[in-house]
Amino acid sequence: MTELLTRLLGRLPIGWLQLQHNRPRLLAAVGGVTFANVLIFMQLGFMNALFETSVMTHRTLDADIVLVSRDFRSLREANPVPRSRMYQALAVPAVAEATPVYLATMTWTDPETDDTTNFRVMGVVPYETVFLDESLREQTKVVREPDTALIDNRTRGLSPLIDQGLKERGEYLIESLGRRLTIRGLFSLGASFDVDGSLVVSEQTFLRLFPMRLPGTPTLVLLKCDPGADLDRVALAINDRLPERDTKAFTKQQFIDAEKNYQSSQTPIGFVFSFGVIIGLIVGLVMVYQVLSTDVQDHLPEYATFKAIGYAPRFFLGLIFEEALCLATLGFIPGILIAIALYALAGSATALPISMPWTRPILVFVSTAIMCVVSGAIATRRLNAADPADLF
Amino acid sequence: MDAQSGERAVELAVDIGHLSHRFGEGETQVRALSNIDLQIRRGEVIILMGPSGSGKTTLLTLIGCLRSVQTGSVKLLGQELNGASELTLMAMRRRLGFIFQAHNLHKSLTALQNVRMGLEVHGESGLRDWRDACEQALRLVNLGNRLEFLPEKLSGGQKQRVAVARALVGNPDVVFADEPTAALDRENGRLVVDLFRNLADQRQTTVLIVTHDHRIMDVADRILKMEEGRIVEDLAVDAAVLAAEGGAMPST
Repeated sequence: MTELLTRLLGRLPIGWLQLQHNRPRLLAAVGGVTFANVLIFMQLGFMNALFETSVMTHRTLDADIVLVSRDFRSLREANPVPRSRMYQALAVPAVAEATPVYLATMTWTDPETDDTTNFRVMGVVPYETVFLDESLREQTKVVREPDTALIDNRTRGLSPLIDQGLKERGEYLIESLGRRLTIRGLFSLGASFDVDGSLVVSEQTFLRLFPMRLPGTPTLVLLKCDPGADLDRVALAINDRLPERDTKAFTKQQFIDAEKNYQSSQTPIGFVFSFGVIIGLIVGLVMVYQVLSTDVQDHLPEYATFKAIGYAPRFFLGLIFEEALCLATLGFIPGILIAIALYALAGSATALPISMPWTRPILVFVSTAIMCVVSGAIATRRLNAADPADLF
Repeated sequence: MDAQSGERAVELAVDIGHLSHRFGEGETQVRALSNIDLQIRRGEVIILMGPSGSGKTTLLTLIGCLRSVQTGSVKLLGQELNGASELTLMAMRRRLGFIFQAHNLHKSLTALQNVRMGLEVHGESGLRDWRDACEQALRLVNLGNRLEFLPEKLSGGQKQRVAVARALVGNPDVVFADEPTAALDRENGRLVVDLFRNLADQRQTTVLIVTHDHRIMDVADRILKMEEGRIVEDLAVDAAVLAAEGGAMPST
């Protein structure tokens, strides 16, 4: 390592040698940076899971353009759209197909365990193409029968009895909102922060479950366009066509972006996780500063000697930054390994998709390196105390 | 400047005129040096003596570019230090060698690496064949068998000799040594001062030594005695020895 750094720097790696010389202090500093890294990784992991799960339903819909209410901010609190807008949209050139989707949430208490599960219920027209997932599309036909449903097998805390019942009898009965629902099949979507899982039912079953919802007021209208159509232009054309301005057309990507934007900027959750990242950086900054400033203090006579010999101020800055970057690197390696293990643990405990995209380690390492360099820059103020005139 | 005075300026390593220095302001002001005139030729070995507070350390730090000159003139190797920028002072320091009483070796570096720091300050040019140069410098002070030792594994005398090697490895024009033999036994003390003498004779290196060690007086060309910020005696060594034998030091 010393040899490698000597070659890289073109000089003795004094910063590294200093760190290595005091092992307990090095371990404390690396521990601090590792802790900060783990904290940042976990915050980013949860924040990303929040964003990804909040658009999970959006992504699974088979649509080029989506009609939502004008005041749409999030799927969770979306207001209904007049069904008549669907027909108006169909009149726009390049719009080929349209289908309504009804959304609401429903709580089910498992009588066996007393555990409560919060479902997002999606009411669809069974003979229409609503989902991108092939197996889900095939199974949608099953829910034509009244009071039948498909259940998300990645529902958080899903009772194994449901899977067992489906295997043994091909169905499983649940009761909610005063009605009995027969589960006829499984699909795979996943839990999010606001719902434990999803149920797919027919439009008619949905309206029975939620009698306050009127038939002509779906939550979304999914539009499919002719192949090769310019989706942005079609969405603009639809928006121009809707006179009452109560409905808005989004391309699917705009629909996803609007939800993400809401989660990150309009809800406290996005802020809380961002704040967590900042706290992680501050914790790391303080710990690295403590170590570097103590190190500078301990070596003041040597630094004063180097000043006397003729070393320039940039030499000392380079030395401190070298220490800072060594700490950033040494703390990052255990930090990412621990984070990967914790991602797996948290993912299985919460049923949230907590993954590690390749860009995140780069982001965290760069943030950590900046944090360490800032700590180093603050610590260099102590260098002024190294006065070579005091050596004689 | 005529030819004669130009030649004289080149010969002089240190040329001091009317140098005064004070510390503090107002009522707490202390005058450390008063109106000092001093010339030191290249290749001279000077021993600076005097009681604590006599001003010898202040004089050394001013000549050694470690403090800014307040009043008077200090020319070091032809460069006027009064009014010189920090950059100039730093560049001048690279032509000097410092040996501090407290050694100040870097505790994370081996003896060889500590000596290397005396070369690295000269940049790439200083690093050519650095290992040979550093090993040779350590062998000259009898430490050829301690190259990879950290300072904590060295005795006080050995540390002092590493500091000597670090100061000399870059072939400085002027060496400043503060009690360089204080931690050394007779044999090694003699080894170090003989090294200074040889550098002065062979390379025209100027050596300024602050010491109270009477065993090494013979190595000097001149002995300066300071009291209350003034040079009160400036003796050629032969005269000093003679005077000591006679019981008194004649003033110049």
